[in-house]
Amino acid sequence: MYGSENLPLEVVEELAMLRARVAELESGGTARTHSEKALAERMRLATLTRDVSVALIQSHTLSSILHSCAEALVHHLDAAFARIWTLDNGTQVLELQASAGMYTHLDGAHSRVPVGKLKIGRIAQERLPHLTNAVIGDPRVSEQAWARREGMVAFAGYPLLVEGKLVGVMALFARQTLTSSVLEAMASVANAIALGIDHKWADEERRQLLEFEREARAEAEAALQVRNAFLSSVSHDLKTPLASIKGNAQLLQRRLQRAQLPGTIRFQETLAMIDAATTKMTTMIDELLDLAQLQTRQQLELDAHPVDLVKLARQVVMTVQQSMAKRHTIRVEAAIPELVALCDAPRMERVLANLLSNAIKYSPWGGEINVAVAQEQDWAVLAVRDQGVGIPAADLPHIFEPFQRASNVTGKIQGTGIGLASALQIIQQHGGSITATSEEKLGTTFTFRLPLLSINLNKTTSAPPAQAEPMSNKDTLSLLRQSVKETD
Amino acid sequence: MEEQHAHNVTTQRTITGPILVVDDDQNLRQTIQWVLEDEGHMVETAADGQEAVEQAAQQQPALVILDMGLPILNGAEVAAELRSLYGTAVPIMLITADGHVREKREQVGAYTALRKPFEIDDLVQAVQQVLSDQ
Repeated sequence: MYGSENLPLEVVEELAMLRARVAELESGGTARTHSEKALAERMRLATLTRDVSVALIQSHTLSSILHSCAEALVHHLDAAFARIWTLDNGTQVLELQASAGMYTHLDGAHSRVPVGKLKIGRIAQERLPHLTNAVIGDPRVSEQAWARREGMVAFAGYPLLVEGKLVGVMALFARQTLTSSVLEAMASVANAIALGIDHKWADEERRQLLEFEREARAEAEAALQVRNAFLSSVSHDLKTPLASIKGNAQLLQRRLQRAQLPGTIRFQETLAMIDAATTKMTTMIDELLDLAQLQTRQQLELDAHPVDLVKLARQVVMTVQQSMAKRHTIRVEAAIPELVALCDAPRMERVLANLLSNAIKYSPWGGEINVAVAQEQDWAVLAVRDQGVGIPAADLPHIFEPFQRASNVTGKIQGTGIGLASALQIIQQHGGSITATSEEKLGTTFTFRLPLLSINLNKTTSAPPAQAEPMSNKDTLSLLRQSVKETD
Repeated sequence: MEEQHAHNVTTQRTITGPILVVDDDQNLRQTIQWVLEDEGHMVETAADGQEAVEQAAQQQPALVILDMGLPILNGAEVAAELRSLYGTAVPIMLITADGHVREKREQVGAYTALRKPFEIDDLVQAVQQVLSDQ
């Protein structure tokens, strides 16, 4: 532990220099002069500094580090004993961490010293060292009988301060007077120890924060798992009664149609409303499940079929228009009459509806919204352009991250930060991409691209099958290619 | 999936057994029964897997419409029993509220699958399709 490795360079140089001078003096055989003694003391103090520095860079516990420091003080300063306390900030009590020399116990009257009490507590309170070479008669040293008996002469106590912050107290008793150079050395050692304690505390705090974070993350993940299991079981339970409601509504509609009874149109309309409501509810349940999967970064189960995106865009725009205020106009610009891509229609509708509702929401003073549908080589390109508040350039790279919202709308316009993250996931799983360009106060354009298979789809053979069969993206693509080959 | 179907199914077929509807939800079971009876099919129902297997053993069904989450014997176990009784002669149509439909369909070797809630038109069409393929 007292090796010369890891020492500050200046200490090493000083030591080498001193050793050389001592050796020179000794070999000269001259009588020990006053200057020789001073030199020996400088050497002693330099080794004290070295030992303390070495102790402080060890990766041991704080109390073992401080114990090494206390031992170095006793050893190199010829102290009767030396002690180091650290401050418990919450209780403002100094706790004895190390004791070396004639006393090595950590319990007893000086084990826990409140700030302001005893000489140690007063050093802490005043933040000033207390130094004396006349222990007997010093009003601060209350243990006069003990001091007389033990022959104590000097006391030196230093507050341990880091940038004005108290971290502890270091003190020692000696049976001989302490010279000014000893006190100087002690002051610099006190600084080093204070810094060491502060670093160790910071390390400990960091370690604890990391630990807390790990625990919190694990807890959150476990909670997500529980919630997902719950969501999946609830949605399962909801879908059976929904199937029953939908089935009965449709059954009655069929029967009314077949019976061709007069005056049943109103009943049929009502049944159609029940049917539409169950469809809407099913969509909401599916969205909820998608959201849960998004949060746990699981893949969605796509249900892909050939879909005409021009028709889909017009339908979504029509639905959105029915429920929006009159301040906005939405225009669909389709460069081609039909554009068929393989996709999960309900999810694609959700992406587009989401982009449209964003366009409306973030252009609070109204304006025109454009939906452009076009083909670029093997890609379907859909763009939603608004004349709204725009997205600050600094926020643009993050808008597709879950729960991220632009700084110019947070707290002003309601939102969850889920829509775009969900859109990104859906588009990416279709093998596509989505981007945003924006200028603040001028508007935003969201553009997404979906791969068109380089095949000419024949509508009669590619009609969606009766059974809604979900498939993974890859499976669907390969299956579709296969079936197209077969029917060519 | 549809490409494998025969294209000349115009001749009138005689369906021997009933359609067996297996679902533990009484409402849905009843609804499916009414829908299919309206279409002229003969329908039997079972409320759990055990009952389904017993009924199927008594009379070979033309088709089994099978819910996956069943009490006593689950959908997969019922499917296995049906296979040991009739091999692949009895087609199975799955109805399920969960995802992973494709895996489940492969697991039980079902002809097709419907997700709850389904459209009645889709149910009727799918049933016609299965029966005409037999």
